[in-house]
Amino acid sequence: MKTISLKLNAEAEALAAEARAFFTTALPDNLREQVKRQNTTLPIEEQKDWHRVMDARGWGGHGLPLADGGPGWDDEVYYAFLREMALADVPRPMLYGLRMLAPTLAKFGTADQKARYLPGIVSGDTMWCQAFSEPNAGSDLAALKCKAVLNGDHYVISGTKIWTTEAHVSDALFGLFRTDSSGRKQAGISFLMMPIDVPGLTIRPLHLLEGTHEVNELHFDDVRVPVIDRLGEEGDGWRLAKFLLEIERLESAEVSRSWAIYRTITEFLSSEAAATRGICDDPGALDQLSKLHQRLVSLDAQERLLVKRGEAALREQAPFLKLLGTPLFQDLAEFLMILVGVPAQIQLSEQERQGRPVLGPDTATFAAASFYLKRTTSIYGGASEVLKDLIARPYWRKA
Amino acid sequence: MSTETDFVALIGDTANRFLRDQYGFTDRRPDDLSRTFDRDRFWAAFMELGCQALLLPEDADGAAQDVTAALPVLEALGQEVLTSPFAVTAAVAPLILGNAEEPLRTAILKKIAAGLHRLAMSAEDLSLSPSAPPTTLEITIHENTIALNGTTHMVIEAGQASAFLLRASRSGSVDRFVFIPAHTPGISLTDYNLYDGSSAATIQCRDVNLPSASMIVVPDDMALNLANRFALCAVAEGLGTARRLWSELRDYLGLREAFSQRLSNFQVLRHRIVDMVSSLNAIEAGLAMLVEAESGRDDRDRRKLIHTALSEFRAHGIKVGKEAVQLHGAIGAMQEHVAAAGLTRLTVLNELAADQWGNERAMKALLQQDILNGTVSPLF
Repeated sequence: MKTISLKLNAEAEALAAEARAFFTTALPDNLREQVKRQNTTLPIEEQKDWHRVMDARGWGGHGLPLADGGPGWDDEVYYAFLREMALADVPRPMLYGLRMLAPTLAKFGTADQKARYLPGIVSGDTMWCQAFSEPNAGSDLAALKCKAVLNGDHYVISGTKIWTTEAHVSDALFGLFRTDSSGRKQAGISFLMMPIDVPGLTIRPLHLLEGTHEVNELHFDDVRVPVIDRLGEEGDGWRLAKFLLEIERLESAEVSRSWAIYRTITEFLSSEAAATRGICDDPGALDQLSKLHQRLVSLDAQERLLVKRGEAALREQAPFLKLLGTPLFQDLAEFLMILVGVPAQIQLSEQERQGRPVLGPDTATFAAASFYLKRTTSIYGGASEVLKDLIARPYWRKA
Repeated sequence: MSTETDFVALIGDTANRFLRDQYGFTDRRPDDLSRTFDRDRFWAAFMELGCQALLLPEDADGAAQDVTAALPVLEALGQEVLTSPFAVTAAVAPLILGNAEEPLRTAILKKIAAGLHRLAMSAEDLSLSPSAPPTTLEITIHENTIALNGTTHMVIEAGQASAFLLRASRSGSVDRFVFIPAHTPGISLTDYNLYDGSSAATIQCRDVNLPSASMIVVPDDMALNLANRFALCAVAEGLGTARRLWSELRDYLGLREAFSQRLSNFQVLRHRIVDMVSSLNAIEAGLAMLVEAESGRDDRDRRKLIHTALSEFRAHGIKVGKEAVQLHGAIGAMQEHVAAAGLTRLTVLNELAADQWGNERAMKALLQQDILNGTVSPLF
């Protein structure tokens, strides 16, 4: 039997306490409040400023090995740090640069690429976005068609990428491009990096169902990228992408962020607004809350067990965490919205909210937005239905 | 010690192989159903492995391991859907017996270590939310003896036991436990068969006289400790059963054909078997919560962990059992089939460990109190 303990090691416990104290004092209230309100489009300069504060503390490159500018934590310490971030309503770290590209660069990059790109990621000065999906290549990513043709010492890119998160506020992008169409579709894909203001690249905003501008459509019209900005060998992009997508395994279930929403729900239930609606001690509300709590504690324990069991267990089982975690995240947001009632359906942007009377509880200003926005969590990073197919594959593979 | 040691691994492997090879479900099932399975012989052979001494203290010839050492053995029993007095005798009763006066304490524990005792306890004394009719067993204390009168229900595997460990009350005093040899005059048993092939009895005591030392005074938190330990045993055993049902079903879907296709090619079935793995993970997480609850948390947190683990076991254990029956089709509903046996065992284990209504009600009260106190936080 594998370990069944949920206790973190002493180093992780110590780091958790240190991080908790740091976030309490160093995180600006304004930023904390926005994260608590589930605002996913924080002003980019505020995000960068906060990242610089963390970098000054030595945590700018958290998750990275020492040699690549990080603190060199093991999985348990890293997990403890991420958890404290979420529980303290600290903004999510800049995902695509720090959490995805940096470890991939560290493993597959040339010395020159590491020297040019890693420092900007660790300091928070360079914001990256990821251009993988295409109009006809989402869950079936290997079907991508956006073409990169080698021309001397440059690739010339033409085609379209879609659902590119934060491209409109990023400084650079990395993506997968078709460099060869002759073989099987997973082959002939290459991994390229480029500045966001490269000539020939246009960004068109796409608005999600509650109005947020978070994702974009990118058009490449003979965009030229030097060969030295290809990560790995030509045609090796699929392997690199798999590595990159598997890195983000610790937070795929959003467990700690779910605890933060759960806490918001309980705060609402103890508020005057809830008392006015008579739902403070309503047995039905308590029943639903209890069921959500049960799922949350169970998922929390499952995630922690995997962290304790190490790298291989995490890689193998992370899809299960996402399968359970994303609907739970959605259900918590839905429960909050239902508790708040109709005032939650009034759509106000952060700017519009300023100086206006809020109808209903303050929670009303973000409960519905959060519910709508969270619909995407079970789609990105592998839709739940696709994940189940992938998980099931080895169950009947011949030994 | 929650990481497996070589010793624990060895015991677990040995138990696993022994049970699979000599008491495997398929070979044993006809005897189960005809009620000709020789339980005395099984217990005697099983005790030769020494598993029953894992958790006992060294001064009683035990191995002084922590509770996680018993988990592989419990899981192995569950894999073969084999009911036994192991959990109560080797993992639960010693919590109480550790408080007995000497020389009784050492004498009983040594007998357990030697495989000479099979103990039985009431499910009512092992759950935080009993669903059985209330115990009316009363104790009267004399100078050197005690007398017992009254009734205790749902004493698990009482018919096979060499002794009972029952809670008795005395007006104006805290409850005590009493160690009662099975053949003590004044005791009568009414035995019932449960759907999983195990049994439980109502024990009636009429002027049962025992030495005073038979009475064991226990600390205030004993009820919580017992519920924690028994839940842990039930979930560990249930995890073994659920894993067995899953692997049997996966094999079946890979072999059986319908509409000229292997069942494993149907996406809806592939997705359901993935959902079952999620359920296995949830049961295992519950087990981890129960281990955590044994490790010195405050009472409120322990209760929350126990209630949550049992609710998860309820939801996911029975789900795995029902899916195993459903996806095997009619064959899975036959008494001979492991899916049917697994579903009944998982259901009975759940009911013995907790009355689900009471369990959920208690949890909701704790959560409501947290909200009122403003003390909402993750459990670990």
